[in-house]
Amino acid sequence: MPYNLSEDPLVLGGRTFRSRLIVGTGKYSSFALMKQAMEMSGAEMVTVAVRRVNLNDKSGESLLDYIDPARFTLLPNTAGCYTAEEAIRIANLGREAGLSEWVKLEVIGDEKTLFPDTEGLLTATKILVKDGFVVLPYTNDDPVMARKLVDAGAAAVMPLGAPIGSGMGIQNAANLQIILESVSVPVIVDAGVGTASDAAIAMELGSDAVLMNTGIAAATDPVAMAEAMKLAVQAGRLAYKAGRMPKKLYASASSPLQGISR
Amino acid sequence: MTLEINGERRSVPPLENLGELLSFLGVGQDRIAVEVNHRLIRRVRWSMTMLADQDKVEIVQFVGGG
Repeated sequence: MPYNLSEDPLVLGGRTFRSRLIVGTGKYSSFALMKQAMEMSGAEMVTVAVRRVNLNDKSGESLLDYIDPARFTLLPNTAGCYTAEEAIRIANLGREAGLSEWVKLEVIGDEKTLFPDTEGLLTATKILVKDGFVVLPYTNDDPVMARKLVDAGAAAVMPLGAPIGSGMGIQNAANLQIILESVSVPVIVDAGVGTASDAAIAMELGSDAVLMNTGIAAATDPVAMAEAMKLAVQAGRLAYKAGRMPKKLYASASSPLQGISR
Repeated sequence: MTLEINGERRSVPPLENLGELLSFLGVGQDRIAVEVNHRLIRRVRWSMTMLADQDKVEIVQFVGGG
């Protein structure tokens, strides 16, 4: 039987998703544009950040007015947290606001690269898992750390392909492959995707899903890029499941060598 | 009384409880989370949580993010 994409859902934290693309909601020029891009992407889960309510702005426009809760699962993040303690606090606030145990856990170690502080990440993962959270940690491309996160109870590991918001593409295919071979939970490439081919490469490696924000939001036409990303994630998954041909150094003719008319 | 709300000192009329403060501030009460003096206060406890002068109140919501 040929592989069928529609019969291959992503199973994550005990839930089933038809889409293998998770999108962020930041950096859009308007909520209306964000909504259009999100809907075009086909994503079923979207990340959101937790921030102070602006008490001086009574204009009333809210992100959630533009997100249909029947269509999208909210995944609160802990972006901007630099310690395990901060991340745990924000995760708890997100759980209270969103009424869901799911968290995209970020513990950042460096302002310039936004690389994760994996020591703090592991500590926070252990505590949040014990507290009943479904923890999706944003991590680096270290297979040893990925295994430790899984051992701590993470529902997935989310290694970066390149720095957050850099659009540099998949800079670490070999390490991602090793992570894919060494962990039993879904691997979601989170960060670094700049254009459709980057998403396809991540999926062709065997990643279970891709999470992106800037790759769509910072495109000149985010709605068109959202569609490109949707198709690329599907194409990459199909190609992975199809099993690519082996690479060879020399040519191998596609047309018969016999019967050439001279 | 004076409270520190989201990092800003504010004078508010005497209020019975946290639920009243949120109403007074005109904050949409769906999908927010609130801390008083660094302690998360569950939604069901808002109307039972008394406030005192100089309390620190933190009110957060979801915004766009990656």
